[in-house]
Amino acid sequence: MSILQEPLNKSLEADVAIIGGGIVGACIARELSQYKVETVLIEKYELNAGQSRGTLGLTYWGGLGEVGSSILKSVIAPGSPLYDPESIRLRLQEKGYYMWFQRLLELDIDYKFVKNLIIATNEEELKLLDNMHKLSFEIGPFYMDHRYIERDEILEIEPAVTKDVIRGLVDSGRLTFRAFPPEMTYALVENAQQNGVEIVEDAEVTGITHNGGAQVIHTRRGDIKANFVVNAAGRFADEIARMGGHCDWKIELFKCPLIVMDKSLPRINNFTMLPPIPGRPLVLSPTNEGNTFVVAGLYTKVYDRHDLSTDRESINYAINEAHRISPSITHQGIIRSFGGLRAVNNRNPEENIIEFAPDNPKFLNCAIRLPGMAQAPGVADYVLDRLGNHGLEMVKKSDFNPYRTKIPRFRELSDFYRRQLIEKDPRYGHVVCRCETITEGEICEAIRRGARSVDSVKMRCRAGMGRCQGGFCGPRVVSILARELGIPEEQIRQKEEGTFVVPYRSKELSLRSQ
Amino acid sequence: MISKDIDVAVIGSGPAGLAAAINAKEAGAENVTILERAEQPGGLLHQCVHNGYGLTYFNEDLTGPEYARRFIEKAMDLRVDIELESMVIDLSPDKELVCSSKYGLKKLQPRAIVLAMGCRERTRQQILIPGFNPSGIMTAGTAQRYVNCEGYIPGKEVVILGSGDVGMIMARRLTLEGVKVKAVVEILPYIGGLIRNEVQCLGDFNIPVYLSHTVTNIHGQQRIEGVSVSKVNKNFEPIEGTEFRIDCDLLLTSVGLIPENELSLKAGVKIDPVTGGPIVNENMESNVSGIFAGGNVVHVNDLVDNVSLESQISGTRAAEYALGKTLPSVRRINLKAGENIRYVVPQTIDVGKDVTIYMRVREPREKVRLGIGSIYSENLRVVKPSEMLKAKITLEQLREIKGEVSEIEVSCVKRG
Repeated sequence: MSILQEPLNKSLEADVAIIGGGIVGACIARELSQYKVETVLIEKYELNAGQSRGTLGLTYWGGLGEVGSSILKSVIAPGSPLYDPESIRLRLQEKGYYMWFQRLLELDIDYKFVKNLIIATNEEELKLLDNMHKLSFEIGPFYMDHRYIERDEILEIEPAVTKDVIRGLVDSGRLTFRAFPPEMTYALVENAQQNGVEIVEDAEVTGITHNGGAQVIHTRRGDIKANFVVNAAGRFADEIARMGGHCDWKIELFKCPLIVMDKSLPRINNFTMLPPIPGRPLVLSPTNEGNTFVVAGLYTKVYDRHDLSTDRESINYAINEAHRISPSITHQGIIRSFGGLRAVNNRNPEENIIEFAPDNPKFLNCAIRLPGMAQAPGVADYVLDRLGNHGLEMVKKSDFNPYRTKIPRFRELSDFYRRQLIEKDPRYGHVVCRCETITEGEICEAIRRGARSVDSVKMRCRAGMGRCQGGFCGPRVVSILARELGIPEEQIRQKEEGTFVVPYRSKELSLRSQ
Repeated sequence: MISKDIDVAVIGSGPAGLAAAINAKEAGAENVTILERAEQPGGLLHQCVHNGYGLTYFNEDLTGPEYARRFIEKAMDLRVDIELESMVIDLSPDKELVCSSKYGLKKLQPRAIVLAMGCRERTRQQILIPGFNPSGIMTAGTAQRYVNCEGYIPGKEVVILGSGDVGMIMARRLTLEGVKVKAVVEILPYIGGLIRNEVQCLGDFNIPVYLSHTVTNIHGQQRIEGVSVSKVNKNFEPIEGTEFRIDCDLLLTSVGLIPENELSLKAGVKIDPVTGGPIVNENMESNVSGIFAGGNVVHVNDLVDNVSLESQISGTRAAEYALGKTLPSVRRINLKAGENIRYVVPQTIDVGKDVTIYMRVREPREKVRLGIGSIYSENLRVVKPSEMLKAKITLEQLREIKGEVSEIEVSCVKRG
């Protein structure tokens, strides 16, 4: 048994229990923390941003970003219009998008605006480009934030693209920003926690009892009583929905490989793609830290909800295609690859499901179609509204603190501030992750804020995210975790349950076999 | 604020850094400082508890820590300044370096610098093994650190991908720890590391070896549960229908080493795309004046003894540079890798100084002639990519090079 799996030592009771610590659950928790509402956030594993972790981290509203996202549309909902003015999802996305800016500032989240750039390198692609341009006129002002751009200018704003480029479409860069999804989630949760929200991790929900009064959520660590339950379980939302009441929909999953390239390659500045062919994204996207993300391949339907695997064909396809956009991208530059999942519901794949269970008026299902990040604050706002309608009493706290500060980043500071930081805490002078220049101080702070596994340390402060993928700092992070948490190294996990890094002590096996 | 009284600063205290610092001191440099990021000097030698070190250098069979100790003691005797837990985080073309430690940030501008950062292992991702990302996958070197330095065993049943030296040594080490080594899988038709490791680490312990095979899938979502292994064709592509599964709870990768040159790039040092290390001349000096390099940061050596020998030159020449005693260049000659030669280090030499040249071949061959232009010729019984070739070229031989020649080719072809 590891530190996370210990039974809850008190019987938890709350006004609202949120199931799922992804971006949606985190947003709802943070919104609720403004009110005098006892809130519990329940997470199956460790908080790790769920599906958002397998995305490019782009938050957008309309424009070419929406055109990019339409690539998936042809797979999940063939024949649906590119833009439906009646769509509730788009309303939430617009609202959520603009709500983000206040939160980015309050929560000290790093973000950067990026331009969307669609390039054509041959006659066929030029035709597709013209079609997209025409289409945008038909749809109206929602998409009108872009213009044609010629070869020379493309090479100026995006020197890493192929010299074969002929022309492209580019937007103003005012409608898409890039942030690191786990950072957004952690920031929201940390702030919610500051304001009194209880976080319960490693507590897979096994059942929910509801007969009239308070509902009892059975988790692997014990029962939690709650008046209202919000189901924000992402790709597991239908499973949880069925525990809470009647449910006539299912979650369907689509997978596409994501590949992270080494920082040393010529960097991509814009969200760059070839004219999209339905179902086949081919995208290069910058990260705030200088790596390039490659997404290229077919969205394929998967049936295993845990399937984050990759396969040789799709990676080869992705790299070969990406090489067409930017010739410096080859297999040698890969530092990590994984499958990204996109969840939609089968009732209306174009829409969210945000509704109370038909037979349980205090159980709110919240299954969000992508893009989840852009929608999340809007969704949270909407959820609070619905909870209020169903009788949740919401009185504002007078002492709500909307501010959270990020873990100091040694690598980004000037020498002056670096000196100051080391003077305050000498551990900030000790660089542990050499690829990303992450110090012991940052790792300890990540643990203080709740990291319990090697992966969670990585997501919170980047140690192990560089080109050696924790080969050097891995053992050091394991021993810092053991020291800070006060448990033996054999109990330190890579990620969720059952993923110990070094399960045995030396001599243990050789003595056993004698 | 910037400390300028250092003659030679050496970055890294592994075998390369120690040898360079000692020689710099012996060549007359007064202030020689090693900057080391770990808690102790010696670099990776500490986790190499097996023997086989020093056979060339000391004519003795030593373990890694013993070998390191000899150099550390000598460096201490000579009063080389070793600063531990000090990581160089920035290096500029005018040789200004920023060093971070618990005691704060330090800026130095030494007269000469020796890069001795060594190398790191290639990861699973860089060789494209698809599948899940469970725990229980690590490089052989990381496992070596866990087992030999930290006292932990990362699994019970292991498959090792790649037959590099670290991989083979870990096959033996883990067997001794009671771990079942189920297979060593190598994509090449021959073993990647030294013959002696093939015999002493794999052969002597009856470890199954699959040549011309590779891992094509990883099973298990939380902890690794097994791997799929397939035979590969001549182009190293998996052959369909040959896949079989081996159950294991640990996969180690030993698929090559890469010189670690992030800092070198910051200083504007030019990198050879084949070696992955700085392009150097006969003084082991990079294109940036006063920045020298030695050991695995230049090219991945086969033996630590060669790292020491090569880095001694960097140290001596760095000291001469710092003291303003560098001999003027007579005439530059570029060395070009010809048939069956993967690379040559140094990449350029001077006709005015004798020099030792290190080379690696592309593929194993028997009964070959190693030729360096028309000035050097040596018959060799067998050559392998895993073992470096070494050629000492004297001043007399260099004088044979005619005035108009600016490039000579090195080749290693079949005799007769």
